[in-house]
Amino acid sequence: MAIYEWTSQVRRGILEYCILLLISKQPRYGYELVTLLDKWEPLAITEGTLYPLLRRLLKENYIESYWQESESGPPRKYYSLTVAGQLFLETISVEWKNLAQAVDDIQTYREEERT
Amino acid sequence: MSSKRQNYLNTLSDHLRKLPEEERLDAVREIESHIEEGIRNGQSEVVLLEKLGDPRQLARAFRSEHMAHRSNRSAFDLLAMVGFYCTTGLASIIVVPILATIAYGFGFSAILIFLAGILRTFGVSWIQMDLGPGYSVPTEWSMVYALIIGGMIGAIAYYSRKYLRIYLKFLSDRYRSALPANR
Repeated sequence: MAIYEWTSQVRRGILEYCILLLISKQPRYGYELVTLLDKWEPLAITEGTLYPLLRRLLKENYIESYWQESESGPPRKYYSLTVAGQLFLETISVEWKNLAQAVDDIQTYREEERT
Repeated sequence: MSSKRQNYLNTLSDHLRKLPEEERLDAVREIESHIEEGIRNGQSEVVLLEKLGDPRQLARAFRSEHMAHRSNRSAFDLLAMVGFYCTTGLASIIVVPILATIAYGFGFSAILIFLAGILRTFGVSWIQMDLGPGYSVPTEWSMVYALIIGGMIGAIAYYSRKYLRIYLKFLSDRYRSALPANR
C-alpha cells in the first residue's frame, strides 16, 4: 500500500475527531476550520474534503449549523456540537486513548522481543 | 462577483441537483461564503477555487461522502452482497415464480370453477364434474361442488399471494440492509 493511501485512511477518522474537538470548544465556520487545521501540517485538510465531511456529521446529528451575519465579511455558517455529538466525542476520546495506548504497547512489546 | 467564481458556483449547483433543494442552496451558499471569506483574508480567487477543487468532484463528494467514508470496507461490502445473492437471491429464483404462479394460476382457476358451477346448474351439459370414475355430480349439486373445490383452490391462491407479499417484503428488507450505505 502506498504511503499516501495509508495516510489518507488513517487520517479520515482522526480528522473527524479533530473537527469535533475544535467545534466542541466554540461554534466555528468552515473557513475557520480549514485555517485552524492548517496550523498542524499533518492534519491540513482540503476544502473539498471538509465541507462534505461537515455535511455528513450534520446528517448523523452530531453537529448542528446556523447562519450568522458577520461584521467584517459574508454571512457565515457556524457549526456546533449537539448533545449526541458531545456523547460521541466523549466516546471517541476514550477510544482514541485506548488505541494510542495499544499501539504504544505493541511498539514497546516488539522492542522487548528483539532484545 | 467574477464570472469565474459565478461559473464555479453554477457548475457546483448543477451537479448537486440530486440533493433536496434546501440542501443544495445551503451548500452553494456555504462555498460562496468560503470564497468571500478567503478573498477578504487576502487569498487570490484563483488559489481559492483551485483548493476547492473541481466543482464536479466537490459535488460528488457532497453526494457520496456517506459511501466514501466506508470505502475501506468495500471488500467486505462486496462479500456481503455476494452472500445476499447466493442465499436469499438464489432462493428467490425458485420461491418467487412458484408462489406467483400458484397465486395467479390457482386464483384464475377458482374463478373458472365458480363460473363452471353456475353454467352447469343452468344446464350447460358439456361441463363435466366427477367425484370419481363413473360417478358424476348431479346437476343440482353443481354449485355446491364448485363452491367447495373453487373455495379450496381459491384459498390456496389467497395464501400463496399473501406469502408472496410477505416474502417480497422480507426480500426488500434484506436487500436494503445488505447495501453498504445502510450498514
